[in-house]
Amino acid sequence: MQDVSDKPLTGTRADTFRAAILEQRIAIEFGRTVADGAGVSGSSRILLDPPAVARLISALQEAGGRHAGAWAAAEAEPLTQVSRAPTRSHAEPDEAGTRAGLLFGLLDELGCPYYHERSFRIAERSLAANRFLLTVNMKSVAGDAAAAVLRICRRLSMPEDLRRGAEEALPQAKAIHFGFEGDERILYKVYLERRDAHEESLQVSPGTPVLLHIAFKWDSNAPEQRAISRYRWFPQLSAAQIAERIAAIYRGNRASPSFQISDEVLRIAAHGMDEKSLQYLEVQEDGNERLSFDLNVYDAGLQLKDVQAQLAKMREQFGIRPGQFQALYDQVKTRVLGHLAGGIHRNGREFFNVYYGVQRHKG
Amino acid sequence: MDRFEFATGGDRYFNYCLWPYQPVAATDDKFRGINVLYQSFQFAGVDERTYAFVEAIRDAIGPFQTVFGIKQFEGRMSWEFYFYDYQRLDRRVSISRVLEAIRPFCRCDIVANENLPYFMFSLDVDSALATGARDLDVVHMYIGNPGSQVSSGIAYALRPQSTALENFYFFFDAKTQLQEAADKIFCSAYLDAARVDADRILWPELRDCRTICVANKKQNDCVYFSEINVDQLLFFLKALAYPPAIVDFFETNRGSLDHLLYDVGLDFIVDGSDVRILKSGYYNVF
Repeated sequence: MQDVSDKPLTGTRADTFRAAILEQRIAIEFGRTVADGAGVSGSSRILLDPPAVARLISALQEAGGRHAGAWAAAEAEPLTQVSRAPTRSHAEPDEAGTRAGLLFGLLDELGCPYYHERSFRIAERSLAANRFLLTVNMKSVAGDAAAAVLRICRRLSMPEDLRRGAEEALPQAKAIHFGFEGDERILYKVYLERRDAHEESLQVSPGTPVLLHIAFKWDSNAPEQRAISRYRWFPQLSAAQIAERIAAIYRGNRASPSFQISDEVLRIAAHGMDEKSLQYLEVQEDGNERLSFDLNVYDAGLQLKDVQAQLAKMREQFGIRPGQFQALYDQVKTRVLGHLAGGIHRNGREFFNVYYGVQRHKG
Repeated sequence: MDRFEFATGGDRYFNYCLWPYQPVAATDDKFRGINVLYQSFQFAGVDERTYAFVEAIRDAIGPFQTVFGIKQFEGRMSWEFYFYDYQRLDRRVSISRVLEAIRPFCRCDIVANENLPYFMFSLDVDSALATGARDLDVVHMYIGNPGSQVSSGIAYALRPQSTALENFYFFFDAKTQLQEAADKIFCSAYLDAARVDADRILWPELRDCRTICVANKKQNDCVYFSEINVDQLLFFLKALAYPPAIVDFFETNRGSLDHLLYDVGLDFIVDGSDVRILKSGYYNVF
């Protein structure tokens, strides 16, 4: 695109664009050549995450193909074939974008509302932000909901043994959370939220765990890499009791930076909500060291910037490049803080997942 | 400091007139300009609401759009935020818009006439304003100077019941108009050019910059040097005996601040041959 003039783009017509790959985003600016040809009036920069890019590409290809004949007739000259320059700004959509787009497309096909929640993971020298959950309530799905879910699982190439496990648990499911990770590997996840968990929580003494989710997870390109995770909910715990349980996950070491970060977030959240509304889960998997927690703090009404200090500590603790984290933080700091998950992952290493900004899609 | 922010590939860089520049060193993981402001806040012990005040402005008009000045006068620190929109009557960054953004923090009875062709305005900022302990009772509004051969601006104090002339500003290219800048400084009602050494005002250490601005104010004149590097800024801060904590911040973090350019200003009075600095300030952008 030519040099941008100091006149901003007005109206909706554009005759040029430029794109750039930023940290975890594609940036696009549209422009229109100014009358004297001395430059281009530019629009504001539009930032898209990889799933949105995948959907945009799909939509553009469909629209371009549908109207190619009409445009050619109107212009009375052959359509110019846009050649792709061998630069990153014109790179083919990566596999993760395509796979994420597939999951979105499958949920869209259900024709019912679903929720979209993003997250990022921080671990040793690793910041992974191409992650999201799509949640659908079984009652919202028309017809045989279980069959529809299993069709999605097949389309995601869910390993057969996991699919059988999911099929067995589906009759008990109130909601399904479909998860995607597309940073270092491409992972799909299917969480089945148990319908009876709430009822069971009322019948047990406070602090007695109730199975809330069972999750089936697999590497899309290496399906032998798989796991089944069990999420146990500890209802009606106070903030202090939750802190005790988190300390136990960190082997009783209250001086550990990870415990202190977790405890600080817990205190900030508890300050803004009824403690008993804090939903605390612990996660375990058969055959590996995973022991982690998940703390739901949506009801605290916090934004990510309200825990900026704790996020900064996470960044430092795990050796994440400040500029890399800043690029993500700038995008998400005003989103609602949803969950903090942390503890020991199946690889034996500490981590944090931060979930945020759940949004409803009409479907 | 937990609030500190770090440069990303998408960052933009502007001087105190909101003119863009290219960073003068690699930027990876280095400090953003806002850290210079936050460090001064931390040093001065401002109320927490002051940080939220900054965020509210940034949320309203976008990042890298607000110039800040950190001033030192008689040992006290103060701040001024400057807002530019050269579109003038087609402006997006207006007095009204910024006043709306800070409405939750402080009371302001000023109503701006958005039909006036101002290109810039500024607010005096401190903890008292951010906490609502004082009202915002003046907005400094700057308009152009059509017909002038020199790039220039005129500042007015906009108050609820009045508008009053304040200062005049004249801009000179430091490389091609240094003599004109000197001529302007020494064409003054406040000093005898025959008795004052030019180097006492037009500091040689700062002349390697982009523009030199000369301001005529009610009681004194002022000179500004735009787009100096971090080493020039350190010289400036030390020469004017800024607090050790301020100097130390730049010295200790020089490697994280050397990609930025800075702007500085000196308000001065002259007594015979003696030049005394009344007030000074350094500027950057958030």
